[in-house]
Amino acid sequence: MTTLALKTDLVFERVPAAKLYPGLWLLTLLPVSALVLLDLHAGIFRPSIWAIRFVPALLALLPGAWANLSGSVRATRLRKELRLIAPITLTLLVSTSLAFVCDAPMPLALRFVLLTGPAMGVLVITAAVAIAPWGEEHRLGTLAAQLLSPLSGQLMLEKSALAAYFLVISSLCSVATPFFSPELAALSILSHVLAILTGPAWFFALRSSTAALGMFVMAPVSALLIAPWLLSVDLPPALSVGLALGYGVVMLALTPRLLRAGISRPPPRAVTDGVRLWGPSSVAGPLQVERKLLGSAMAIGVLATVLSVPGYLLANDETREGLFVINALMGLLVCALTPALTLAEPRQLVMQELAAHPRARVFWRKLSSSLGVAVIAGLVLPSAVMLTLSRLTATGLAVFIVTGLTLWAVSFAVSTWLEPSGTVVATSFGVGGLMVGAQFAALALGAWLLTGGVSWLVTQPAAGLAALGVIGPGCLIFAWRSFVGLRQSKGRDAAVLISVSLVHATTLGVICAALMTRGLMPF
Amino acid sequence: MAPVISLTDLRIRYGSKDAVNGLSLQVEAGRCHALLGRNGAGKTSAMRALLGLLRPDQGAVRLFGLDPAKHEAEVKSRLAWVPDSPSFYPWMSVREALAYAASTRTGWRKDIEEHLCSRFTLDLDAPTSGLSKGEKTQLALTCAVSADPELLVLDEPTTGLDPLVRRQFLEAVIGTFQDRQPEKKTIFVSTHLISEFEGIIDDFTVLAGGRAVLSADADGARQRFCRLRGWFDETVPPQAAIPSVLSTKRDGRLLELVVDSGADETRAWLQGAGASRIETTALSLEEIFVCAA
Amino acid sequence: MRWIIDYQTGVPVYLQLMQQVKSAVATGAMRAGDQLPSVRAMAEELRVNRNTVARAWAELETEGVIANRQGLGCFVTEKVTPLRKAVRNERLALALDQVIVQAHHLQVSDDTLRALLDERITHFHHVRKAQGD
Repeated sequence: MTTLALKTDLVFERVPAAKLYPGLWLLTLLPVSALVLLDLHAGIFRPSIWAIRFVPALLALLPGAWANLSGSVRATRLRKELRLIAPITLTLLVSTSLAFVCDAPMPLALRFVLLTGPAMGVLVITAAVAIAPWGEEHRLGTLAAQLLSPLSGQLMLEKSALAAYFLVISSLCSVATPFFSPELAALSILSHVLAILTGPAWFFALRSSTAALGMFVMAPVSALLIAPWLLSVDLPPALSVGLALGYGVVMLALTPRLLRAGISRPPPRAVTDGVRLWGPSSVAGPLQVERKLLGSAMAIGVLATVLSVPGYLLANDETREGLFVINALMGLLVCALTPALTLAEPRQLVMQELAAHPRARVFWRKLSSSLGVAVIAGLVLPSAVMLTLSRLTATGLAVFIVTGLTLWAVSFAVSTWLEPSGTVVATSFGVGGLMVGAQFAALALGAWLLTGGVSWLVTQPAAGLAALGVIGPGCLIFAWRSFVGLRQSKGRDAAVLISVSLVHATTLGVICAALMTRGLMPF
Repeated sequence: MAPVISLTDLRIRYGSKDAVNGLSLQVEAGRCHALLGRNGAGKTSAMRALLGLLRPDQGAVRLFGLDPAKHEAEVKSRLAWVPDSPSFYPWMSVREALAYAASTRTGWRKDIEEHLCSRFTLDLDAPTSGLSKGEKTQLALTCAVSADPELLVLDEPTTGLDPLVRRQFLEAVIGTFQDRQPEKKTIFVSTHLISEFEGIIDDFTVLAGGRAVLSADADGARQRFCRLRGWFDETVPPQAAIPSVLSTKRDGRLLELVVDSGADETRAWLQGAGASRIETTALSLEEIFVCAA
Repeated sequence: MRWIIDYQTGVPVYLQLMQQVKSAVATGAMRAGDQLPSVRAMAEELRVNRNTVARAWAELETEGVIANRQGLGCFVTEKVTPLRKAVRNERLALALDQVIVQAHHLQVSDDTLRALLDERITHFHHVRKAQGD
């Protein structure tokens, strides 16, 4: 979901509305339609059930349809609003609609891949959707103009209403999702409600990047902290799951912003100091901010992991298995994301740093800080938790570490290659479309690996280690050459990004499969 | 009639630092008032407080005699703003950006919009993401002026633009914004390019350390601040003991004095000291700003 | 007609504009019936506030140098000043005072000043004649 959000974000910014809407509709309807076909194929198609399943998708399309058909000034504004939050809404809708249809007959592995998105998405995306209407305006630098309009009150109301509308659809999906237990569905609804109620308030109340971080942690975490009392659920497991999820939320929500701050273009000067907030201008600030960000990420990671342990000890089986999955995924995400976090600064700051220090020294500093965070927060701590869960074998651990390091190396190579060279990536619809397509292809490939191809690999950990032996140093050499040797090659942007998508998704699939074939996964 | 802008004892603090510290100023209808100050003098904060984007810690802001907090819609419908770096939605064309801007305003003037678009030769089908800084400023000015406001707030509008675009910008402000009822069309501008705006500035306030260190009308100030140059046959006399002298410069047999409202007195002193030739010139607003800030 | 504003003289902008119109009329560069640029065109060209130009034009109208024909614009009038003779002399005396003060500071003797005045008057008529041809 992270990479999907990032890419949709990048792709959509420059797509004219005429191209965007049909694409959006198609993407929203696609998963549902695909599953209709599956049902038909399996001979269990029941029209009444599918009619219900289409409802959320149709509800989601309704405002878009009206905005395009009506010629009123309000429709002009609505078109803009829809367009503004399109990437994040799309992510929300795809994730919820995927979750919604997960009881369809399909390979176990594919179900797993589809489920990880919604599980994270419920909390990440709700918080993001509630704030996106303001956050995106802020990022573009157009918020002040809205606030200075004589219709400002109405404009703000329209924004909130639209976000709330999508959140309501999403929470409807949560209730109807077979994957969620009643408790989880209740939590999800609660987080939706809190997100709706507090989104604008968070936006206007908080002014610094640290606060923005807090917002993404606080909104869902507070939901999860309040929920146990309301629902008479045991506190410790809920607390630990909440913190672990909060950690994921931060990582998932910040990364697209940080990545785009680095690879698309320098952020516009914030025009509204009074409402300084999330967005590249605040999160990808000076070096101090970078350190603070990494520090915060790490602190939250450590806290989440440490608290997961007692959470696990007290928890029931369901929570325990959930914790296991979350730790594995979070660990890998941290490995994949820290290089981008380390390197995603406004370009002029990188240039300042490079002007003051030799490139090689900057390179090693970036490398050591991101590797340090990746190893501690992404590998050591999650491994410790997974070992505490006492079901992780030595082979599983080796595969986990190998995968994590590989992800880190690939991500580091790409980040170093993109950042200082100032390459503008993925600004065209074609390249963006390819990347989104590659994402789906990667999902399918991962599913295939899970069902069969990977069992061979998993029984031979030596192969995994050999992979690291080739990929890891290869990536580092590539990173060194691009960062210190200042190599630029814009023509390869698409190819590199697509292959990175493939590698990310596939390795994620491999590790999950590895855990599953060892009987460690709940599915 | 109530002044268009009235700031009374405005105070804005960021933590323990005072950004604006007791600023008071008034702008009458039809005047062009410039807010001058070095970076960090508090211009931006004052501007934001004026626009209601920032809540002052103390003091009152009145626009058209109204409290903007209470009469938000009315006040906002009568003012428009051009920021220093205008931003638009990157996926929109110029036409769509204008249509969107029109949908957020009351009293949009389509004729002004068309006039300015042709005057600036803006390509209506061009995507806003591809506009140069100059074109973005032109589009922002078109959006602002087409809303037919009474008060036009310009925040460093021409910084970073080439001379031709700066010229066009000013001509459009004078020609189109002030076209109907110029006596009601008020301009409030914050700028560094003072010489550019010299002709249209009626009054100005120089801000330093969050306070107004000089507030005057432009003509009056140019009469008040003078540079006197005295040429001496022999040695240049020592420091003049005249309180109105702001600065002294010696260059060989030339003594140059910059004075604030003491030209006659200083001229007499120069004569008494034996100057063989005396030349008096007025200071430009930019020079006055440098003296005051 | 070329209009120039010099901010270094310390003379208010509207006065400079008035001065230039007056001297153009006096030297014959502009004649009775000639149209002045509109306030808007003038303001745009010189990039000065419209209200400044409007004020200059209004004062010139008061002094009878120009007349505003509704809807058509401002035109130079026949040389009929509506000001009384006493007022005319008073205004001129003020202007001469400044010249005399300036001469004093520049240590120009009274005789030289008188001679210079004669010379400039001759020059003025010369220019007028040249414009007339």
